[in-house]
Amino acid sequence: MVSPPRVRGLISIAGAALVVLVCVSPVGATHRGQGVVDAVSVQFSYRPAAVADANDQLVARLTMEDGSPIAAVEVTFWREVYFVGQRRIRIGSALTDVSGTAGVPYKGPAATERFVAEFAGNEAFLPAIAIASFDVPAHPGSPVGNPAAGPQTTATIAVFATFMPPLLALTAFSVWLLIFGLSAGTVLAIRRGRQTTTVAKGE
Amino acid sequence: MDQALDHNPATAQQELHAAALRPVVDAGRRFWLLFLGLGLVAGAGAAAYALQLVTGGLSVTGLNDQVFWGTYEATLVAFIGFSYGGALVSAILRLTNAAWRGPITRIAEVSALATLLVGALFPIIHLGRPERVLLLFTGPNFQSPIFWDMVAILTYMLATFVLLLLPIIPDAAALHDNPRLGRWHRRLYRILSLGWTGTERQRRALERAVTIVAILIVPLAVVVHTVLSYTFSLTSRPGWHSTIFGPYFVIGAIYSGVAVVILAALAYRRAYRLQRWIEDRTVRNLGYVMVALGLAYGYATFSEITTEGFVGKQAEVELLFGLMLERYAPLFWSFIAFGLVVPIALIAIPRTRTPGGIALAAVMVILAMYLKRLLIVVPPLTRPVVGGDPGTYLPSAVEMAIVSGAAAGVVMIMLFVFRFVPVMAVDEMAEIEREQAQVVSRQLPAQATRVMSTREATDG
Repeated sequence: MVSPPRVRGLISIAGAALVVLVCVSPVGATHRGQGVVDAVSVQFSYRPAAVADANDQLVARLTMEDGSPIAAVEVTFWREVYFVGQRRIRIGSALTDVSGTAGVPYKGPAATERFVAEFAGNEAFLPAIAIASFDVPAHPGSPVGNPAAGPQTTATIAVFATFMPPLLALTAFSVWLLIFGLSAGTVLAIRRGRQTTTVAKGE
Repeated sequence: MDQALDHNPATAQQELHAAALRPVVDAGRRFWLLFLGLGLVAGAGAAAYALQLVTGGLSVTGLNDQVFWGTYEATLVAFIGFSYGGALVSAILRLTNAAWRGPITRIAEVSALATLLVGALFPIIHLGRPERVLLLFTGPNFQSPIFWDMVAILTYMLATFVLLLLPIIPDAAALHDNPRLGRWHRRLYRILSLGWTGTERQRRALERAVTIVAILIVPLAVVVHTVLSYTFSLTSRPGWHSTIFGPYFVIGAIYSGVAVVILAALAYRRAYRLQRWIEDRTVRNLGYVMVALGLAYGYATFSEITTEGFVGKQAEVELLFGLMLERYAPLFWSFIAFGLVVPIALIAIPRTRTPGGIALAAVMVILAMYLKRLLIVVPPLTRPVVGGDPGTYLPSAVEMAIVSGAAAGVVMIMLFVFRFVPVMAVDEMAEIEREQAQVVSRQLPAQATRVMSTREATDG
């Protein structure tokens, strides 16, 4: 028969051992603990508006490797543009709901655009990113050639970037030509000016 | 020139020609001693560069992984800046038809060319493998600012050269039969004169060409210095990434360049007794231009520091703190004192607004602006971008020898050019004098008529 104080002592030791075990074991180091973080997969989609005046939606669904949704984390959405190199323009950010889904409204010029959904990661989950091209449908009143970087502007800048070096080279060449031409012309004019004087004197 | 008007015009012209040719024909022993001394310094610089090439490239410099730019880059910016001031003084004074420009345009143009020729060597000196500079021609990268920097500098160099050469044509014609010249000089001047006889047609052609090149020089110089500033401001490094850098560099360039013109003009004036032509008034006017530019540069400095400091981003605060209150504070405040406050005060106070005072101000501006270029280049590099300890930089003896040699080289080029070229634009000065005489002769009858009518009215 074990006496009650001894039982209490054993229980205390067992409890302390359990606490230690929980803390140092993989069970204790849950995915919310330190050290182990889960990979995240992102399903990224574009949902055109059902009615004419409404916005489209960029939607990302975040899940763990086993397919279970990740709720209450922030996803940021970007649009990829070409502006003096490849850049991103922020569309917005949203928190995932219980189904792991986050979405932001989007309305842009009709074109095929590249979008990015990015989860920055936290102590429990690794960062994740999804990049995809979607066809943005035309909307009545949707911006055309958004100054930030609509497809027309993007194309213009790409053309500008392509033709800028030759244009600069042409400008530099023209200046050189002007200086050389001017110098040669002046030399000729001075020599001709002298000849005219000589003829005049001869007459 | 006012004094020259007192004389018989023919005598005055002879005196002007003789004065302009003094450096050509009367070099004297002091000239050769100076030339020899400078040659030794330049030779030491060349030897130091040879050492850099032979021994281990840039490892003989004080540059390191963190501070990869130092005196070479500062010298490039400073010397091209000096050049800009000279070219702009000449171009703007010509375009505005300033009557006092005559005696100093040639000195300004030669100083512009000399500083540019030497300054443009520094990107090559800064290369561990200088032969690779040929890649700029054989395999140019049109997306690189370095390529366009080279194009801009070469174009500006060409324009500066033409701006110097064109006004020499009538001078060479006026002086080619001067009895004081030797046979070689006469032959050279005859070739350079291109058969100039001073006809209306020749004058028109020359004036048009000089005006167009003078107009071209202004934007070209702005482009050169802006592209040079892009080497810094198009990076994301705190202290360099600043929208004000383009104009800041341009103003700084003219400021220091005008100081170089003042110093060169005063040196030639004193050495060759040109006080009668390079008058106190001319020096004072250049001094006023320098003060205006100094105030503009001070304003730009204030604006840059205030804009960055007020927002207080971590990196910029650290940089400005080090610059103004800690590590670089003695150098920074020396620049403020000797680059801005004292020179401006020296010229602003009538008592010190003498040629000596203005020369002292110019020396201070040149040295302080070089220091400022170092402060632009080095402190931002010493601050680590991705962690670690702050970097250090101290120029090595090799670097100091090369930079000193380059400075000596600039003076040697000027001395050399003025052994062949008249130090003053004699034809332009005569032209200005003629124009002024015409203005006076037009004004005199009008004044006489006014006096007569006033007298008649009083009598009536």
